[in-house]
Amino acid sequence: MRRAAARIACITGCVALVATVGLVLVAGSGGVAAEPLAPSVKPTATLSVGQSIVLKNTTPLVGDQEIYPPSACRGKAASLDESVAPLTCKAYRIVLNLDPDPRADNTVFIEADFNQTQLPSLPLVALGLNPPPVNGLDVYVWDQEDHWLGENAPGTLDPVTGPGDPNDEPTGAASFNEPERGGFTAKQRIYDITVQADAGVNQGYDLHLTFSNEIFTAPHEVLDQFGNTAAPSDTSSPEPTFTPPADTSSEAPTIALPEASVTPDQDIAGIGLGTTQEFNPNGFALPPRTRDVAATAKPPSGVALVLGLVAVPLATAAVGVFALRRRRQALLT
Amino acid sequence: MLIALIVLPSALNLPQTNPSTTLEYAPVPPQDDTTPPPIGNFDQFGLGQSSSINTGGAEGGDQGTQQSDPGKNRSTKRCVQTPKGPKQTEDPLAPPCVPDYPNCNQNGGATYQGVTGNEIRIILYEDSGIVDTGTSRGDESRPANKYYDLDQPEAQDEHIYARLTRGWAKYFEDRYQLYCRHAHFWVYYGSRSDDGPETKRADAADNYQKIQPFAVISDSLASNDAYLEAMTKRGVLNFGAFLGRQRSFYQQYPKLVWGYSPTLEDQAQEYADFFCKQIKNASDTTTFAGGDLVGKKRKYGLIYSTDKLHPELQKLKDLVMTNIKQQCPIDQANIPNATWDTCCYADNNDPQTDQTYGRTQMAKFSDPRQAGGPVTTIIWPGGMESKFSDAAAQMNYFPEWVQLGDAETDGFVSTQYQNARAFGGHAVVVTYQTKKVKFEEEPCFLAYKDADPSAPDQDIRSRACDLYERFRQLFTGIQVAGPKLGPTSIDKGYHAIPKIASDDPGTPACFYNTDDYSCVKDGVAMWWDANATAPNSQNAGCWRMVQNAKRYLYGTFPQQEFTTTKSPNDPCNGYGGHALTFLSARNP
Repeated sequence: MRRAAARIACITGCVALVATVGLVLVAGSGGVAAEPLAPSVKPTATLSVGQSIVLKNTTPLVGDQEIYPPSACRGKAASLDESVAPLTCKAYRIVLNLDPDPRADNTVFIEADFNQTQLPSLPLVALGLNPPPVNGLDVYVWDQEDHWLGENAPGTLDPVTGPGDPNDEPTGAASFNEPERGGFTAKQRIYDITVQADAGVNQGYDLHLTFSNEIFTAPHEVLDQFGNTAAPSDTSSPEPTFTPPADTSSEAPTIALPEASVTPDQDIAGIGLGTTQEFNPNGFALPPRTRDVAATAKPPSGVALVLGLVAVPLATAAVGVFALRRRRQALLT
Repeated sequence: MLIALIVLPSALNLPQTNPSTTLEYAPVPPQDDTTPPPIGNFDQFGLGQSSSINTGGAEGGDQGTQQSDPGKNRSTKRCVQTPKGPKQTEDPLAPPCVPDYPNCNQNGGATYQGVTGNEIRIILYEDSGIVDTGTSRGDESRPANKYYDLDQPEAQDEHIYARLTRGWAKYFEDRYQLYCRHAHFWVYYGSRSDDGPETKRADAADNYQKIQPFAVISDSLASNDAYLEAMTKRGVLNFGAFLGRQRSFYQQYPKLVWGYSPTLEDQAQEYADFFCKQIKNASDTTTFAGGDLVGKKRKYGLIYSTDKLHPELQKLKDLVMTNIKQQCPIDQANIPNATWDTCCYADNNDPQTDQTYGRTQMAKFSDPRQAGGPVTTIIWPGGMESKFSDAAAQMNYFPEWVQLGDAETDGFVSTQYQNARAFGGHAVVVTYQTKKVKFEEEPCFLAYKDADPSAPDQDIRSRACDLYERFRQLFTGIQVAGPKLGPTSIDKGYHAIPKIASDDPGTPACFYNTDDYSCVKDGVAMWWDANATAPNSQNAGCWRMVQNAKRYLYGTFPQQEFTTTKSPNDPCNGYGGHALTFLSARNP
């Protein structure tokens, strides 16, 4: 479990505490090593880049608020207080085959899967907060026998106040979370990892460790049919200054062009369009607005008017008179 | 003669031979009075990437989607008709409509990691260790290290961001062209916001191992860069607001990191352009100072934060001063500085902070015995702080405050904590923020309601809209990329967006220059009215937007004295600010 502020074990009283804190700060800052990891411990696992392992534990662990060093978890208590450590934590020694590639970030990812119980707490729920769970675990990574990663990070020092060591990054695996998830960038070959019960009784866990150099090849990408792989050029760049061409029309020689015979274009479709365009017949499928109009013709000429208005009527009348006289004469005879 | 009289009139008539009918196409006027929508950057956008796309023939509102009609093709989209042509949504920044993509078997299939022929895998990343207060379900504590697969039915205790992402996923899948692919979302609540980079890297490794996403929308507050870097190493695309980032931040990960907010360089350029054209070069004497400083020859001072947790503010200060030096050098023996440390709190009453810093430094600024007299005009390149204005008002010292908007200093919520006497009429801010109206009228609010009409208003207002720009940017990228989805096609699609100004106060100009991966390219100037009330606010104090919130592309502010551009009737901006933090309760 996840202390709001990490605790530093007070083993031999307050004077010793101050001395310990000072020593830890030096270690965390990359100065004089406090106490290196015990060299005689048999490695639990040796990891190469790309490897993953799962460390299982089915032994119940009893929760404790103190953070015990790896040696104490292994049963080598340095004090009476530490004698209970094997009941609350497990320690693992890992050896890393670091990738020497300068691009490599030799990183170990940690995940501890387990079951914890979220107890209801009405006052906290009323505040919108989750109460601390029980049966949880914390994972600590030790680069020294008496220093775990993140111990001196800003904001985790208790009772020390101050900026801490910004280079002492916490692994993130000591929290209220289930699963616990974290990681660290390896700066040495050997680390100890402790898994410790926090509150209640943990009934077992799976500890997943994955070692990565964080070097990846670019994923395969299917490009468009033109196979472009480069970013497009920026079309926003200012266009070149436009310089109008000089007017040389006065210098143009007079050209006498021979007349050519022109064949009239009988095909009106396509007028005004480019060579790759054509009228969309659907565009003319709009509902027609119709109206009736009369077709016009040429007006009659003056001769036609005279003939039509004068000559023809007079001739018709004359013919009629003539026909009527002949008919009357025939009747009389 | 009688016959002649009868025949004559008919002879003058036109002959009635062969009456015929001819077709005539009459123009049909529009049948509504709808105002044409504002121009967006996509209005002249051509889909250069997707030659096989049918871009014509869209009709609005009746197409439906696969969600509502399983019998339809997933690619069928509901576009809207605008005078600029059919568009994907009502948003001016929506791309041109691609109503249908019938060739689903030709979309390229698995064109990139996290992409298959029918799915795009996307993660929304949220920090844990935060309680989201005031939601429709009260206060919701975020889970940690937890995945929500949004293709699964909603869990009873699903956290608010997972619920809201369901709405956005539905909206953009309904409305944007995804070329027969389904946007499969996971919402992941990772480590705490204050956890270190190792933890964020572990989150990224786990996300990649479990989901192998195409893209991530990050809403992380802290250590975000570690997560982002770990994801980009794995080739995953990242979308986010990414406030306060330099151009080089994006250029480290070309084609993989895309942001909405402008870069620090763009912000500094816009500020310096305004400062030089409308303040310094426009008048040698003060024009909006108060008290004894009215009409005085301008003397400039500088306020900035030295907080190590906000290196972006020191960088911004450097960029602003460099731009000013280049564009309109300040002819002073020295420029007095006032600094503060713990930054970006609306009201810093931290008992561990020396509360005298405001008074001490304003006394120095206002001292008439210093060479050149008191500071009349304060250059303030971002960072929220209210002690200086309080101290200035107590001294009856009313200089001109020229602030740079950083998404907090340009919001009415935090600025309402500035001293009203000191800031009222004497403060101006240059910002990339757009004009916001009432929440219920905002495009993001209407968009979310379109997807989920039953969504509680308060959840949309307070949280969903904060994510809208990121979702829009992601889905715009997916659409303009064309069927062959990948970072290269997204890059080509984005960079084909026309680079034109926005004429809509509510819409930024959004396009991408060469080696540029951030969206917003314009800004506005606003002045503080301590007595007016902004939309979405119940308290006095609002930023009024000059010239009806007219937006200017970077470097194009007009050469015009600032106060001649303002009017008492300038509209108030309803933008409150992206986040607001109090270090302690405000003193009575």
